[in-house]
Amino acid sequence: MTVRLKPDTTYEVVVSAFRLRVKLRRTAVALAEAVRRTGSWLTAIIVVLSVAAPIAESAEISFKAADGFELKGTFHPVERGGPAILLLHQCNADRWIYDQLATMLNAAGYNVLAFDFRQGGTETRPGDVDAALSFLISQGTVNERALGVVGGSCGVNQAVHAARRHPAVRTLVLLSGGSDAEGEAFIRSSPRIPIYGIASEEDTDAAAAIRKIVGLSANRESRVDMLKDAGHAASMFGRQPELQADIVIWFRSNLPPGGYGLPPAIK
Amino acid sequence: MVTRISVAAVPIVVLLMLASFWVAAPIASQDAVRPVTFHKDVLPVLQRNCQSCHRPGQIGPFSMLTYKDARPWAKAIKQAVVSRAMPPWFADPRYGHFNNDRSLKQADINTIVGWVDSGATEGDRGDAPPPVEWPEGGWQIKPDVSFDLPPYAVPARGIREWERIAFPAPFKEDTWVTSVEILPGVPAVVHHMCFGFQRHRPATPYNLFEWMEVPRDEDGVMKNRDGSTRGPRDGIVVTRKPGGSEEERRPGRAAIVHDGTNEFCYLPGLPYEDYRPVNAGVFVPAGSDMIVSLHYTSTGLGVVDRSRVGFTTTKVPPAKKFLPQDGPEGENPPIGVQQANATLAIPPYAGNHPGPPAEIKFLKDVELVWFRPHAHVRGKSVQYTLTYPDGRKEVVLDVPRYNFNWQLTYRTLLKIPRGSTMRVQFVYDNSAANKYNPDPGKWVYYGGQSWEEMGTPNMGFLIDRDAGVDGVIQ
Repeated sequence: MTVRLKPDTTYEVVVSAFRLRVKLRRTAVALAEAVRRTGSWLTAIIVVLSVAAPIAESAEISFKAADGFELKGTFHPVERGGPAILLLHQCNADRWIYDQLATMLNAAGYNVLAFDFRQGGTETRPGDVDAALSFLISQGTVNERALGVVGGSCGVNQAVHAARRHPAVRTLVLLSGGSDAEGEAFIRSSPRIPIYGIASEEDTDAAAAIRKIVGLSANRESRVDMLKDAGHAASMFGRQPELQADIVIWFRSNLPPGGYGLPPAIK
Repeated sequence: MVTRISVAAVPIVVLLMLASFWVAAPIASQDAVRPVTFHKDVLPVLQRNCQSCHRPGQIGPFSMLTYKDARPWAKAIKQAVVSRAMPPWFADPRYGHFNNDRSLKQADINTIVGWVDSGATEGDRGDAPPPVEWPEGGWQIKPDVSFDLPPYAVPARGIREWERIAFPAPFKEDTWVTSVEILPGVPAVVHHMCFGFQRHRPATPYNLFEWMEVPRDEDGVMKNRDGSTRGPRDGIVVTRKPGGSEEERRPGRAAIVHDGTNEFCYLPGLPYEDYRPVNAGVFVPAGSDMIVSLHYTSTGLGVVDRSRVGFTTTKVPPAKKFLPQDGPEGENPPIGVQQANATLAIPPYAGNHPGPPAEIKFLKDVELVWFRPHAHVRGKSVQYTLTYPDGRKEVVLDVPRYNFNWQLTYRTLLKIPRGSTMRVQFVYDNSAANKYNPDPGKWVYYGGQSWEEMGTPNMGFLIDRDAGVDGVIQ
């Protein structure tokens, strides 16, 4: 059962203001903390300015794939450290399609990386996904044992195989796509991984693929949300913007950034 | 008694009723067509029930302070309140009465549903109630005194035992503490942080982390299953200076001894402790020490925790004194509890395993003011049953779905007569159906680490300000 909101003309204004507010809030929090620790506004402002880069909520980054190809991405670190989420876009798109989702995930406590696949987003290579995950876990704020992946359309197969190759991937969010036989076999044999699948009914092939891949999961948390007239993969966010909030809530439940839900690292 | 109404009065009553309907009808129809808006209808609900956590710096994943903050989450908010997943509250409403019940009234849920289903519109800002003035610095209380704990470097991997560190209490004179809040610096790694006060002992070292080495197997499970959480009384004592990494070991007993109990705690999801509403406090004599019990958990990412403690205080002595009962991890009277923790052994895949019950006998009349049941990731449910001296039994708290991420305090006001007995029963889920179960194939025993289990029936009591604390419960 999916609830659809009536169109709201103020929504676009709201979401664009959201990112700016996060930026301002973080700076304000950092400034207040610096004042508390230094006892001086002037010193605090100098301290905050001197560490402005880590406070900024995102950074344009690049990293190299195994063959030396330079991939470009946007990284949203979380100051206190925590889990990380990799966003894999659909073909014929780029990382900016996840801009709002990345900001919301980051505000909710997650390090987030979105990067561009090669050839204008048409060429998805497993090695590039591995390079992106390597970049993520090399960051000082990322808990390398707690990773999640979002994949859209042709990125779905890459997301499933990323989980197959990297045991630290604990949950998947799959938008409008399916996986190959090897990926399906992996899902079937991996009850530990909860999967959240989303598609739009009239996007019939993608809807069937999502039903199939999530249906293979034996994890009790796995679920499908089937929307109507929502479009394809991350493009669904345009018609169903609340879907992004649903994805954040999914991660908070299945990849918790804190509390006892994050398993201890004994060894 | 029979009330006689004159027959002549009947038409008058009917007319008055019709008139009242005539007056009321336009108001009702206006309400029916008036859209539910954020500022007029929803914001008051959020202020009362949600903003304490859903604001910057708190544990909620997003802010609900303003329309711009809350609007992108409208559908998620609706789903959370309709399913009663939020606000977090786990007590079965059929039992007990709790003055901090956070569950939403049905009317408030209806308001949020109506708002979302009608487009989640903003409405007129002039309709908004004044913003709540939350304390600065991330506090929920507004502390009169605050205290920074030393930075603690939590490594990415390994086992951190329960540690203690002592400081001079941050009060220069006799003080009544009326509320306490502990703000963890990195909540993801703080398993618990508790403290109490006691008179200074000359042998107590200040500003030094100290713990007992606990013999463990390769999976981190305590070898000695004696119901303890801090390891052996006689063994290897380990110390480390704040900011340093060098650990010193010596055979013997811990130098930091806590004569009393942990009066205040941070646990995941636990809000601050506040005794102001019941005119009570904790008396801290001048020259007292603050004995802090720390338990950090490595999660895979090395971090430095900088936690803070805030206090409100009063110069006017409150009428009552707070007396905690913090379960068997306390070491001295009056907190002893009959609970055979050493016998706790949860079989593999057991989905409904009862632990050894706690039996607590009350030796004086007391007022019970809160429950705070504590278990780890396999905790499933807990029930507190009070048996009165006349044999009558009453379930005073039932938590059918215990959630370790929300270790709530259930505040009540329950007068318990001398001779009563409280029985506390925890049940555990070691099955694969428990999504937080790290390994359903293992036996699980009592211990202080989150992969071990506990079942601590914490309770708080009030006694008269000048009454002695000894011999209250057994």
